[in-house]
Amino acid sequence: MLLATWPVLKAPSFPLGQISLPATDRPVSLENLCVPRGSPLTGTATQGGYRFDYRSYRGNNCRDYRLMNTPGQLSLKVEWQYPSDRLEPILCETKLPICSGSGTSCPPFDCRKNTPALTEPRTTELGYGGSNADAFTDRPIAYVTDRDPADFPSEHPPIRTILQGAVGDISGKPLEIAVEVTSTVAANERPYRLAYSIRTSAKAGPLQMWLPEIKPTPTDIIVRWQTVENDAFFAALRKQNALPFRLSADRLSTNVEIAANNFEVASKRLVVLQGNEILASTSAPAYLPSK
Amino acid sequence: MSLEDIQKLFESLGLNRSLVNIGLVILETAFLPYITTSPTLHVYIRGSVFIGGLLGTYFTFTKYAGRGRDTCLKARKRLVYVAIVPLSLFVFMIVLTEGQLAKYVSNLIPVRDFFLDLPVLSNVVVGVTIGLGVFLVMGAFVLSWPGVWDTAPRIAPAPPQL
Repeated sequence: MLLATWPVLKAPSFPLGQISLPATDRPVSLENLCVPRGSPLTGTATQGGYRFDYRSYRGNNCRDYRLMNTPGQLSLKVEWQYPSDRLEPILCETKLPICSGSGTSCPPFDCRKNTPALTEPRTTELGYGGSNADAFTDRPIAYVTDRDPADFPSEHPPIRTILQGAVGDISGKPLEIAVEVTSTVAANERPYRLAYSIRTSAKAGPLQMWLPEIKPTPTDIIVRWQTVENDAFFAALRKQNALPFRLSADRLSTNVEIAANNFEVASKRLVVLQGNEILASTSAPAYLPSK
Repeated sequence: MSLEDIQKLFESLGLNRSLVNIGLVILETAFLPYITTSPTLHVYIRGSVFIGGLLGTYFTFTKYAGRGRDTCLKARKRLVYVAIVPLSLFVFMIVLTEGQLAKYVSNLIPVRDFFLDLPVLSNVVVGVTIGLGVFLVMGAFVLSWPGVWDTAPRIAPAPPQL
């Protein structure tokens, strides 16, 4: 069901802190990353006694997928996919927090991407319910792309992905997170400099970058950008940042640079975990050194 | 027509109990997964029902064959009672994680979230409980065959006494 009822994409209620990125790849503010153009595609999933809203926005060269529980509902795992897009098949995955019955609305969760949407919306897959988020399936129409990694533009625009909003923590209660990852090519000729920026919100509380050697406690909130996880990235992260890479209120951003003679676009997931449990994830492409 | 009559009919038609047991396991494997709509759980349930059904048939037969009517029926009763535990747990897990049970029993919310956050553990619990349940139910089914009560298992002859 399509309802054009939300023409304005509201800015998040909490700001990201100051960032310290080089001027050349300073990202636009998170709030303005995706200014919606036209009406969003919206709907409500209702199978199995659940009820939550989903919305797909598109702006100038960007997309936003919003999931929002409704009052009186339990926490719920949701996975929104478009498998035909080989670059970014996972549009948005999260555990929506429990929403008390007394309120009129529940906090939203957004997955934003700065890759442009196709002109025509396509049918996507929205799985929800159960521990595997596949007990029920809806097929809503949404703004998507359907690109192969090899199709990426030759001018190498920054690739930015954001997870932001309220997710259900290990007890199902709302936990605000905001993570932005950006991959840029910082030089136009060889050797290229591939830069990776990871920023978090102060309100999100202390977040920790995932490293192979860390052993998180069940309450630690971990950021994993699986696309860029390789020996060169970890080595640069260890060299260019102080241990233990905590992205907390007093350390809101980290930047890593890798030199490469050639590079390509690859895509795996950006995941926010609590302990070992996934709170939210989405496909998050990045430029990687070619082998 | 009693169960015994049906069994006699099957045997008179040449359908031996192994065939019926295997058929029952196949039926369970085909239809039990539809208690849930989750494709992931379908895989776990099918695998567990198949393994539990075959093992239940095999182990019950090898343990109780030829031990007489009373022993077998007593064991069957015990298996049926014990099977209620894993089967109830199986249904509870499905209703808890996929249904709205926790909305009405708020004490179950933390338990539900625990399993939602651990999908592999949740899938394994569902698989183990239904596998164990079918193991016990198939055992009880095997023990309903009068032929099993009186059929001594084939064992190697004892070595001659010198």
